[in-house]
Amino acid sequence: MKNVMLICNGGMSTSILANRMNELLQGKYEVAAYGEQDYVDHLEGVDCILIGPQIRYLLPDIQKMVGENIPVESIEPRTYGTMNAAKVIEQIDRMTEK
Amino acid sequence: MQKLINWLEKNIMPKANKLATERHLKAIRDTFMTILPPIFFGGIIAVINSAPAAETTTNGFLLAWSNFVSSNSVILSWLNTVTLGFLSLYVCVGVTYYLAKSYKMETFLPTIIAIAGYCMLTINPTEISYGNVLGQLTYFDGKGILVALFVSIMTVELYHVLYEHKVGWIKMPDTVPPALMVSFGSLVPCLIVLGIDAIIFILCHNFAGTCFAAVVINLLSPAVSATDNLWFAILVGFLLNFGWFFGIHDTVWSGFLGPIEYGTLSVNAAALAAGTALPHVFTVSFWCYFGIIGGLGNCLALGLLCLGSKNKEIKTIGKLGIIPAFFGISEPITFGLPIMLNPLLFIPSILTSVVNVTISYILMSTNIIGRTYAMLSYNMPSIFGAYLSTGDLKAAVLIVVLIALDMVIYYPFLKAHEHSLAIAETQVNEK
Repeated sequence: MKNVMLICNGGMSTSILANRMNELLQGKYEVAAYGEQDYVDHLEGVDCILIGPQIRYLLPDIQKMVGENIPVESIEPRTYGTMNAAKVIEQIDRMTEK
Repeated sequence: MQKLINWLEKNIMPKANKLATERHLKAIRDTFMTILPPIFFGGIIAVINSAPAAETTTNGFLLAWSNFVSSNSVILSWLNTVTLGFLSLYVCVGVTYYLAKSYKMETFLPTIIAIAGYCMLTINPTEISYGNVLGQLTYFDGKGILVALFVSIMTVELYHVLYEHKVGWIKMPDTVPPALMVSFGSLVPCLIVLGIDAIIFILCHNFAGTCFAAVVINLLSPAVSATDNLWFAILVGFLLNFGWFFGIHDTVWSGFLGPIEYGTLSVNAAALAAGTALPHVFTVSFWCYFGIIGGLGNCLALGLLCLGSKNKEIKTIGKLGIIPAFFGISEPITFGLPIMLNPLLFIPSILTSVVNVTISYILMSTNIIGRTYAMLSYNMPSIFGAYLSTGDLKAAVLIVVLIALDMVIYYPFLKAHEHSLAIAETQVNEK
């Protein structure tokens, strides 16, 4: 099973999305949400990272922090706003395929 | 319009990144993000401590409450003082810790010498004798925040430079354990940093007869008062929502804003504990509960309007976003409706905050509505937050009025957005 990390400012709004995704996934991936202050402490075993659009300006730094091997992408704003868990899961499928 | 937005987006993102990742600003930001528990504790105590005036009431609960407060006022005031009222000390520790961590330095030693330095620069001892050490802790509250930032940044930067250049590494034979070398390596930087603190203390003590913090405040009082006026509040209302229009979270600003808005709150809390009038209007709770009701963009009012929309898409967003907005989370509406990069909602998303801030500021500065002295949580719904942070029921009424006003401001713009969606839909259908 792959571990997916969602990062936003305080881990608050991404946790809503994470809940929706976990419901939908039934264990295909394990999704957890963190704030940008402490995500670094939870990186172990993470296969894929998605960040909320409100901190998309941090994407280059987060990518640098986690290294080349873990794909990092930002979630498209409308998808995020509508909390469209299915679409985010598609994004993860695509990211982890490679 | 789209071109302009693309251009801004391309130019603003790197700036936001710079602002968010600048080492010192990030250390300050992380400090204020993590320092909330003691502030929350102090806030609860302040709420308990501010029982409504009991002379006219016959309500048994209120009477018991105010009796409890008056017979325990020293205890309650002290509990509030050591948490919320000692804010600057904790900021000093926090910034030192996070800054040292960002250099991947050892954090313990810099933290304790920063505490020592902070005490040297904020306390002017009045009496030191056997079993009796007296000095005033006045500058441990928000008034000392600039000194706190100065001490923490100076300590870490200097320590870092001295340690990196191996100043004071005494050359010892190979038989000396390496750990001893390291301990010597940190000894000299500590001595130099503390020495500088001591020199500043001595100069202030001998020539000004007071502590460094008092000197700084005398020099900078015009700058400090410049951050607590209506124009500054409006500027904050404008800038933070302007950033949010691009979907940039407001924590980007908190490296600057945190010390100001938490500093004023802490000074207010100290004034409350001392039983004097609250000096400041613009505080973190003022901004968070009165300036942005339902999160940035005032999404509670907008969410309520969305719920009543005939457009199915907008209505769905309203249903999805209204509960988070009640708790101050505006992401679903901001990104879903969206407000972000939507020229039709640009004006009201900023205007609502400017209006909220202006009305609240005027009412508080004229003492029609109580000022804020507590901060509970960013996610406390505004209507409760406004009441609890001021102890004034009128503040909760004001929130309701402001929400209604924000709805009036948003209404025509949301209609226009609805209209543009309808046009887009018919165009799709025709094709």
